[in-house]
Amino acid sequence: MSLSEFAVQVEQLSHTYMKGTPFQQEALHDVYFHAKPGECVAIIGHTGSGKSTLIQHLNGLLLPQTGQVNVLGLELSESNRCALPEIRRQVVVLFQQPEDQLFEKYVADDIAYGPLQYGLPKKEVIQRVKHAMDFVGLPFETMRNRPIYALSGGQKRKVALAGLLALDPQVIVLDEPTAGLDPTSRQELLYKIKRLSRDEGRTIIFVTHSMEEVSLLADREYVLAGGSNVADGTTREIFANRELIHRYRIGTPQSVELVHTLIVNGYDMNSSTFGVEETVAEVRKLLRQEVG
Amino acid sequence: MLTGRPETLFPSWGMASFFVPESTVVDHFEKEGIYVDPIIRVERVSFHYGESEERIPVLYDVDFELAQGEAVAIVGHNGSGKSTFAKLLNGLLLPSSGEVWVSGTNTKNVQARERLRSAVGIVFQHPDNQLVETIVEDDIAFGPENIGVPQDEIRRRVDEALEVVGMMAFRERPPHRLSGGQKQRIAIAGVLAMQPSCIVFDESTSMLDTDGRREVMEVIQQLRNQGVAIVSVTHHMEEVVHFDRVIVFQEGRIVRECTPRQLFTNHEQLAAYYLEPPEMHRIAVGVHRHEELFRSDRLTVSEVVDEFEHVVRWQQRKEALSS
Repeated sequence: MSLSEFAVQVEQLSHTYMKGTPFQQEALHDVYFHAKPGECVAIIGHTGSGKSTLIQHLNGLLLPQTGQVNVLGLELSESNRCALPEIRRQVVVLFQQPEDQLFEKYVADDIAYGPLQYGLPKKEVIQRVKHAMDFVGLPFETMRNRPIYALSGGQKRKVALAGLLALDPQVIVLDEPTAGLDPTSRQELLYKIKRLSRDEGRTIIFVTHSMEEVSLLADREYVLAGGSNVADGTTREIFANRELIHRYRIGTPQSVELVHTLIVNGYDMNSSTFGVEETVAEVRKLLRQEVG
Repeated sequence: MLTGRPETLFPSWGMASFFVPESTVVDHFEKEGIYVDPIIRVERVSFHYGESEERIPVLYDVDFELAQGEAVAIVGHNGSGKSTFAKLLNGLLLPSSGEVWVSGTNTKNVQARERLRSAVGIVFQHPDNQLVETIVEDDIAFGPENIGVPQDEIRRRVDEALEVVGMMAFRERPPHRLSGGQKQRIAIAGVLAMQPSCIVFDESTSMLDTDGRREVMEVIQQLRNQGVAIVSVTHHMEEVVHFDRVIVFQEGRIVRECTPRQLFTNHEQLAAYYLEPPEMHRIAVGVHRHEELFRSDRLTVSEVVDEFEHVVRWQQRKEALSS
C-alpha cells in the first residue's frame, strides 16, 4: 500500500448493523472522508446521520465491511488486525459525554491511567500528565488531588481530554467536544483544539452540531445525512448554500440566519456572509443602498 | 428583587421594560396589591460537598425568590455553583446552612419530600438518564403511578402532558429511538404529569443541536403560557434573551440579577462575568456604531430584522420629504 498524502482516508465505506438479521440497518453507504496531516476537519449531521458509526471506524472500533479505511499509512481491516494496537495509540477518540467515563477517584490518577497502561516510565507519565493538565487549563498543583466527584461538568470534560492528550496521539477525534460547556470554557477549549492542530500539527477530526464551532475551527467540513455524504467544502461554501442548510436543518450562527432572513424579505445581500464583522459591513452597505 | 414579575403576569407586555422604567412598573404593580407568595424562597443558603478536611465549598449565602409563573434564567461559569443551586430547589440536595422553602414547606422536611418533588420538577442535562420505561406513555405515567394517582386521572395527565410537548404522535414508541430534542420533550412531559408549579431545567438543552434547543424552548414557552414557573440553568445566551429575569452566578455567589436586556447591554459588566452577548446583539452594536439611528440594544434575529426594516422605512420617508 503506497503512502497516501492523507492522515486519514476513507473510501466507499459502508456499514450495516445486525447484518443478516431482520433488524439489519444500513448506517453508512459509500461514504468518503479525507483529512490531511495537521488539518482540522468537521463532520456535521443529525442523529442517525451515521457520523458516530464513521468515527468508530477511525481507530478500528469498527472494521470496514466494504470499502477502505487508511490511517497514518496503515490499513484497517479484518486481515490487518495486528495494526490495531499501534493505531489506537496514534488515534484517540473523545466520545460524547466523556465525563461519564472517568473512573478513578482523583484527577491526576485518571489522566495517568492510559500512559501507565502503555507501560511508560513513571517519570515520563508524571511529565505527560502535568503537560496535559496545563494544556487543558487545569493547574497541576491545585487540581491533581481533587476528587472527580467534586468537579463541575466542564472540569470533568477537561480531565477526559487531558487523559487522551497524555497518550501523545497524532490524530484526535472529538465527538461533540464542547456540548454542555459554558461560553468561556467552550471558547477556551476550541482555542486549545485549534492549537493542537495549528501549532502541534496534530490532525483533528470533530463531530459537531454547531456551525459556530465549525466557523471558528474547521478548515473543511463534511455533511452527512442518512448515512451518506451530502456535501463537503469550506465553511463559506456550506453557509452560502441556503438550500442545503434548510434541507438538512444545519444549525447556523445567528448571523447566517439574519442574512438569509433579509434575503427572503427581498433584500439583495451576499449569501455567503457570516460572522459579526462581515454581517455588520453587509447590513451597512444595504442601508446605504436602500436609501441611496 | 421583583424586577421580572410584571412581564410574566402579562406576557403581552414583552416590551414593557424598554419603554417604562422598571421601578415604575414594580410600584404600580405593588399598589394594585396582586403580590403573591413566592413558590420558592431561598434564604442565605450555603452549600459544600464533603466533610471536614475534604470539604469543598460551592455556594455562599445565596438568596433567591421565584414568583408564580415567572421564568428565570441562571447563567455562570462551569463550576460557579448553578447546577448545585438547581438541585437545592426541590430538596435533591439540602443546604449546609440556610433554608429553602417551596410554597411554605421547608425542603428539610422529610415527610413532605414526595410533595416537594411533585411541586418542583427537574429536567436534567442527559435525557437518557431520566427515561425509564420502554414505551413513551408508560414513561410519562411512571411518576404519577408511583404516588398512587388513580388510573383514569393518570391517563388524563399523560394525554395533557403529551399535548403540551407536542409528542402525541409518539405515545406508543420506544423513547430510546427518538432524537435528543424529542427525548427531552418526553422527559419534560414526565415532569409535567406530576402537575408541578415550577420546572427546573438543569442545562437541559446543552446536549442538543440547534433544532432540539428550539423544540425545548418552544415547549418552555408553552409551559409559561400555562402559568408554570421556570428556572433554567443554561449556557446559551440566545436562550437567555427569552426569560423575564436572569441571575448570574460567580464562584458560588449571585453577583447580578436583572432583565436579559439590562445584562447584555452592559458590556463592561458582562465581560467581568466572562459572558458574551448573543451574536445578534454584537451585530446590532456594530451597526449602531456607524449608523446612529440603528438601535444598539436589539438582542434577537427578529428584533434586528425589524429594526433594519424600521430604519430603512424611516430613511426612505426622510428622503421623500426632503426631495
